[in-house]
Amino acid sequence: MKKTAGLILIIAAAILFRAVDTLPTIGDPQSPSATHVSPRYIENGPKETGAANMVTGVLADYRGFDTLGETTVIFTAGLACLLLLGATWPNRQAQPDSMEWPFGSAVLEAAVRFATPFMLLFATYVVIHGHDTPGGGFQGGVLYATTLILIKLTRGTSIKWGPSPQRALLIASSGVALFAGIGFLSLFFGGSYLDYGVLPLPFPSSTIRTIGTLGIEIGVALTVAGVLLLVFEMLTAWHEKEDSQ
Amino acid sequence: MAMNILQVAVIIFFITIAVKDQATVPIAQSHDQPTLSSHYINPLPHALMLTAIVVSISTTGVALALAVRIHRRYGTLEETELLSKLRE
Amino acid sequence: MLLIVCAIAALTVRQLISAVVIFGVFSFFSAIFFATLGALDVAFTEAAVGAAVTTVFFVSALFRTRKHESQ
Repeated sequence: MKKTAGLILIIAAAILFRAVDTLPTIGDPQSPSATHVSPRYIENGPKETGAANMVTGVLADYRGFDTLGETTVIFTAGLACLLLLGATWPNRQAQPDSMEWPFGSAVLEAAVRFATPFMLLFATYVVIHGHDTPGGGFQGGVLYATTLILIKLTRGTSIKWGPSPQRALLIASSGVALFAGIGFLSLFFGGSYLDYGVLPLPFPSSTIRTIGTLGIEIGVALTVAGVLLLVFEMLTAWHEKEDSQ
Repeated sequence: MAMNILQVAVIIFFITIAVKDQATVPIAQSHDQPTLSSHYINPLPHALMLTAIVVSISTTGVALALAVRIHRRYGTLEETELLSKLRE
Repeated sequence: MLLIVCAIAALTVRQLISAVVIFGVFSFFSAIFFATLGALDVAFTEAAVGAAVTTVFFVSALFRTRKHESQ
């Protein structure tokens, strides 16, 4: 079994190595990936979307529907983890287990307490300023979740701190609802779904798009943070050993 | 875990497609001047790769949840022991 | 080249927790590689995800599936 797998691997690797020779050279400005669709996005992107970060502009404005699908995917993964591991909500009994108790080191506690406001501020900055600097919704959401996970890890998971799993699920669903809701809002005003240009705000067109993008990024950040917190809670909960079922 | 390494390899592949010679990061340098397509690298594969990274987190999370569940039910994660327990 | 070494090491090390740590290192190196190629958003996301989230998930799953965990 393992020998045939190894043989198939070597054959596939040889085919791939041979195929790499036929690709266009790296960095060629005339390669097919750089000449068909992307010049239009690069040249009209910052003007139309008002976002200097072209990747965020593409992700939230031109291809906003893909981002909605991706948010749904990550929310579904959170639901799947909930189904797999959450037969009962994790009961927070303080078992004598090493992840449940705090580390007991004052240095760690002090360092975490010092660093947390900066991390949260940085996460908020990354979400809100994502249309001009590298960043955006996903990165900010992951940073939020990382901060809360850090605090939970150093204080022991038995301490009742931070969002409980129910509230993490609520945060995640509100993120998805916000995203889809902004899309529906533009349906009410006569445009297509997720077309922010038709919202009747007293701003020039690119600013309206920036505001719509900001709403979407906040929705994505909430969803990502909620789902990551939920999965972390599920993975570190203490259960008695189940014999049947 | 091997799935994740494969994922990173695929992402590297896509990002190298997007590179152009003497072109810089796809963030517009100034708000007034027009952005020429020969000055910035292609931003489209970056957007696809962000989605890919997020999907890989989801897959990893669900796979780990599955592993923990299997361990709770059967008490082991070794393939041979699992197969013998399933046959009982 | 360092990426390939890290990947092979992560898959062939005997203990699982060492594999997880090497995988975190691999993730960081790949984030630097992305930044060198000019993909800043992808590098940021990969660093945040691979180093913090994936490592924490793997370690907590490893912790919950140890042999003497059952009571």
